Amino acid sequence: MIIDKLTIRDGMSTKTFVFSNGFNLITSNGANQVGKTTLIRALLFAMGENVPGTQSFDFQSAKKEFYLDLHSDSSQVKLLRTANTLRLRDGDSRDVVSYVLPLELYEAKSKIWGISNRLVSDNLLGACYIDQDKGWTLLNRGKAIANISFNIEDFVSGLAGLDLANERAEIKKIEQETKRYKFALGAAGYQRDVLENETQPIPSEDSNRDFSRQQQLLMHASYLKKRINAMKAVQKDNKRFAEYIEHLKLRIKDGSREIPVNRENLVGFEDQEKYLEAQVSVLKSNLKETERQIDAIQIALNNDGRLFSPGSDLDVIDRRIAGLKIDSGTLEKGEKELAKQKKAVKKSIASQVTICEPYRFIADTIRDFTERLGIYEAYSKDTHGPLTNNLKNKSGSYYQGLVFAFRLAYAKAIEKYCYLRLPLIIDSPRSGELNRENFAKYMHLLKNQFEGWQIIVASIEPDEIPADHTIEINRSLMEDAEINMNLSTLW
Amino acid sequence: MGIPSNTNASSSAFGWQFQTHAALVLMLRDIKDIDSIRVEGATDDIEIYYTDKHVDYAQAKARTTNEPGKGSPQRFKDALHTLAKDAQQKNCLNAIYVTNDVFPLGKSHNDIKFDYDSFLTFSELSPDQQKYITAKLHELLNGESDADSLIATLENHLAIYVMWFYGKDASTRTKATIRAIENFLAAIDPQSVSKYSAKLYSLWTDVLTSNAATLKTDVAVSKSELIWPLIVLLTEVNPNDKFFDTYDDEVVQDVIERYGQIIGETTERYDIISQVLSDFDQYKHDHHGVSKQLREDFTAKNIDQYRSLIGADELDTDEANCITALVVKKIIANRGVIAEIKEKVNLDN
Repeated sequence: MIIDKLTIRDGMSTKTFVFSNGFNLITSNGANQVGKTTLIRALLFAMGENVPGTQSFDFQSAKKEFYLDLHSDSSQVKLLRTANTLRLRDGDSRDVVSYVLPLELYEAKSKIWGISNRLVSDNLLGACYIDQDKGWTLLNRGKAIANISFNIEDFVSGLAGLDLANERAEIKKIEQETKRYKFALGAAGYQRDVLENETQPIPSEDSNRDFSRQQQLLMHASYLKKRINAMKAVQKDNKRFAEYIEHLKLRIKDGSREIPVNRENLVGFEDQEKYLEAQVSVLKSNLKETERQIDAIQIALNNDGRLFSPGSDLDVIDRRIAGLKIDSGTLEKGEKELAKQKKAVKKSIASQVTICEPYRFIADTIRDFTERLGIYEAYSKDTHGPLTNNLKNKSGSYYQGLVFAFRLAYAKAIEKYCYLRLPLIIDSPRSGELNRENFAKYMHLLKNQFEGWQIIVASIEPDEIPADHTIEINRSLMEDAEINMNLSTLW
Repeated sequence: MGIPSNTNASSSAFGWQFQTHAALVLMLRDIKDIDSIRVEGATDDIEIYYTDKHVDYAQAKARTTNEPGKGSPQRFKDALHTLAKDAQQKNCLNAIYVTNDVFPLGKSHNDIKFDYDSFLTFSELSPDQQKYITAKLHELLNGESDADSLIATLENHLAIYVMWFYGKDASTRTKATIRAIENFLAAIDPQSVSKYSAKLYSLWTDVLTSNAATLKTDVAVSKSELIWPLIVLLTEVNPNDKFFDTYDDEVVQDVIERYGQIIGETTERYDIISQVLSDFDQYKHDHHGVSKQLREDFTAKNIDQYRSLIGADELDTDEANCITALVVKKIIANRGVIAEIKEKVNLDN
């Protein structure tokens, strides 16, 4: 899939960026913060991804529109992204399909990329985009950008069509349970602090009892308020009913006399109105008494030698936590047991993932790319290969090289198993500890291993980037924008 | 000396409370014939309006010390100023001196002894007491051209009422008021005395206290405003209701907890009430039997129809039937309670 052009409309201003089928460079000739990253993210945003804008350019603004033209060998697609909506048109067809984002992002991506596997679709960005902030730290699990994640196990099982739903559900359950244990252990630690802190004496038994009573009264007061409102609603309903009857202008006959039907002669209506008024006044009286009791308890609590207010969340938490019976030992044991379970499930996933073909392809590709980048020897020491968890020993330019190799291998895997060449979008490859020599290896790898791919690289300096098309941004993204009132030319 | 034109002096908290309680007790003495009541009225501390358009005016003066009789002649003399003016009102029925002192005229004029809850008119007092009051009035109205006429008028209307109201402890201080409410409730429904006297006390003293604080002196509390809250209390849904006898205790408890609010709202919607009562009246017309049995039969025969009407179709059958039966029986019973109370306190006249 090739990006042909992106047109950004901001109010009446429009600016179009045209891309070539090959190696594109977005550069600012040494100037910082002029809009390279914004343009890169705008491309992704226009594809429907939920990426953030930059400080000076808010994508979600109502007056901004992003028009993106894409093509493949067999199709042409036009996209129009505005805030939370993506509209898609096939070729020259006038039929437009609209998607509400992020709710229908999966459906939109299926249509744009032709990828129907949800796991692949959800991990697509990790395989085609290296962000300048998060991208160069994402190896095989983590954030590609903002809240968009990548997970190698999911990605590979998606490519292989493996069904790991049970394992994933199990992990999710364990993680939720672990969260609860962690919270409880946190509370146990905090309880120790509260109990040990001499400047904050623990409230007496009486205070705890009063506090519980006060909580009950507060709930009762809330119930009474609801009842009062409900009664008022019934009063209104009854009033509307009487108005309806009067509106009908019914008349009844009593001998020769005709009597109009109204609320005064509806049997029992007046009684019912008085009953409801009294009901409200009884409830209000109950509420007043309840609030009086709440205040009285408050005074007692305030006299307990501690500035206590039911409105103070911290005090409420302290009181509750101080009164809890927490067995830290059991909790720690439970947490460890869950960690063990999680490890076992992960092992089961890994054993299924590593025997499937896409995994072997990715592993081979990474090996090839690391060899080309001159870092294979270091990489081969890690026996977990693409599923590595050990990031501690991987640092500096070596780590950046690994990221580059891993991510490009993912793109290759999509080409092989989904028959799709994604545009490769790379932001600021020169950042970090990359020296000139290593950078040249990166570019060489891209040029030789991704021939025929569309590559879009943003870099502050244009030197040593083998681009065949350059987009220059010198002052700002929308520099030299046109005033265009005729939207039909864009869509 | 003339009659002071403005007696709306601010009272002490104790005196203020006494005034409210006295108003409540005086009202309950004649509840059937009363239309409305005003505390801190335009003419006097307490004004009780009757349905026949007559009015009781009352001056409330309280002793605050533990020495009955001390200061009481002066308090009585002060009250006479206003009471004399009250008696001149064309609609005056009684001009009442109400106090918490068993020696309302002082210790030296105690030949007819005043107990708590004693209400005596001028003509019922001893000759010595009458002589004392007449002398005080002459002293008070000295120089007025129509003094004799003013005195005769007041003597025709004057009454003295002594009620208990003393002590720091609230339940001690207010026991006469509570007793008056209990006596009233006993006449309405003996079973409700222990259940509702405290609540009614709280409701009524609140209403009268806020009436006393209203600056517009023509705003009175109607008997209706005081009696309808009692009807609400008497018709509250509670698990001991005999309606629930035929249902399992757990179902009843569950229904009350979960659907109490819906039951309350349904039994108060006029369109539903009207339909149920109209159907029931027709049923009574077409069938014979004792009313309890008629109500049971009517409810059982119409349970499906009313279950839909109150929107309980989706619930578990036992619960839905329990709720529906409760709503229907409650609507019918409420009408009975309303009619009974209205008759007992003469509410619509």
